[in-house]
Amino acid sequence: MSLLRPEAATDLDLVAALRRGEASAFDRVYSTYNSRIFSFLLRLSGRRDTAEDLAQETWLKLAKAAPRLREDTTLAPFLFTIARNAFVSHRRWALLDLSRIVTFGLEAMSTAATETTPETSHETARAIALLENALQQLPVASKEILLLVGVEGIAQEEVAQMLGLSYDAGRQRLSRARAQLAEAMGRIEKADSARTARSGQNRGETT
Amino acid sequence: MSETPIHEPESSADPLLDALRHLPARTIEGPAEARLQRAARAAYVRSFGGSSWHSSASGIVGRVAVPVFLAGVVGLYMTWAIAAATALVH
Repeated sequence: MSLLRPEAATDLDLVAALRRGEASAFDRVYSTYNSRIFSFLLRLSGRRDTAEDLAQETWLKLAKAAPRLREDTTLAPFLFTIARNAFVSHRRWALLDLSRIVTFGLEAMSTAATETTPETSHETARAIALLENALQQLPVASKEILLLVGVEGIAQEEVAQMLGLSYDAGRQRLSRARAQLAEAMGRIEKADSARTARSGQNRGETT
Repeated sequence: MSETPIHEPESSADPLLDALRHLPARTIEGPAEARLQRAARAAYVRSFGGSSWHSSASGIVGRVAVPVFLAGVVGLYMTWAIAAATALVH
C-alpha cells in the first residue's frame, strides 16, 4: 500500500524524470512552480526586478543540480529553499547599497495596489492590498515564514527545517509573525480610516 | 496578471493564514518570462551535456587512453632497459 500523498507521488515521478535529463519534466516543473517562486520572491524582496533576477538564479541552480538530485526530493521545499537562500545572499549585498534600502518596500506598496484586474471586486482588491501592504511592513524573518506556511501551504515542520529552526522555534516564529501581521493590518486600517475622516472633514469645510 | 492562486492549498483553522493562502500569484511580465524559461531550459540541457559525443570522447580519453598510453611507454622502456642490461652482462 502506498502512503505517499498525490503531490509527493507526482514529485517522485518528476524528480526521476529530471534526473534522467528529460527536458519536458523540467518544463513541467517550471510551469508548476515559476509563478509561485516569483510571487514568493516578489513579496520577500518588494522589488519586481530583484524577484526576476532571483527567480532566474533559482532555476539555474535547479538546472545545475538536476543530475545529482536525490530520488526522494520534494520539489516545493527544495525550490523555495534555493529561492530563499538566493534572497538571503542578495539581501546581504543589497544592505550595503543605501539607495536600495531607501526604495525597499515602496515599490511593493505600488505593486500591491496596481496588480489587481478590473474584474476583481473592490472589497477583494482592498483586502488583498491590505494584506500585501501589511506583509511588506514585517521583518524578513516574519515575512518568509508567513509566505512559506501561509501562501505556499508548506507544512510547518518542513518550513522549520528549511529555515534551520526546531519545530517549536518554527511554531513560535509563525505565531509571532501572525501577530505582527494582524497588528500591521490594524495599523493600516486605522491610518486609512483617519485619512478618510480627514478628507471628509476637508470636503465639509470647503462646501 | 493572474488573480487566482495556481495551487489549491488545504484550508487551515486560522483565518489569517487562510487569507494569505488566497493571495493571488504574481507572474513575470512580457518577454522576460520567455527569456527566463529559455535560459533555464538551456542550462538544464547543458547540465546533461556529459552524454554528447565530444564529452564522451574526452571522458574515454581521460579514463582509458591516457593510462594505456603511459603503461605502454613504461613497458617499452622496461623492455629496452632489460635488453640493454642483458646485452651489457653478456
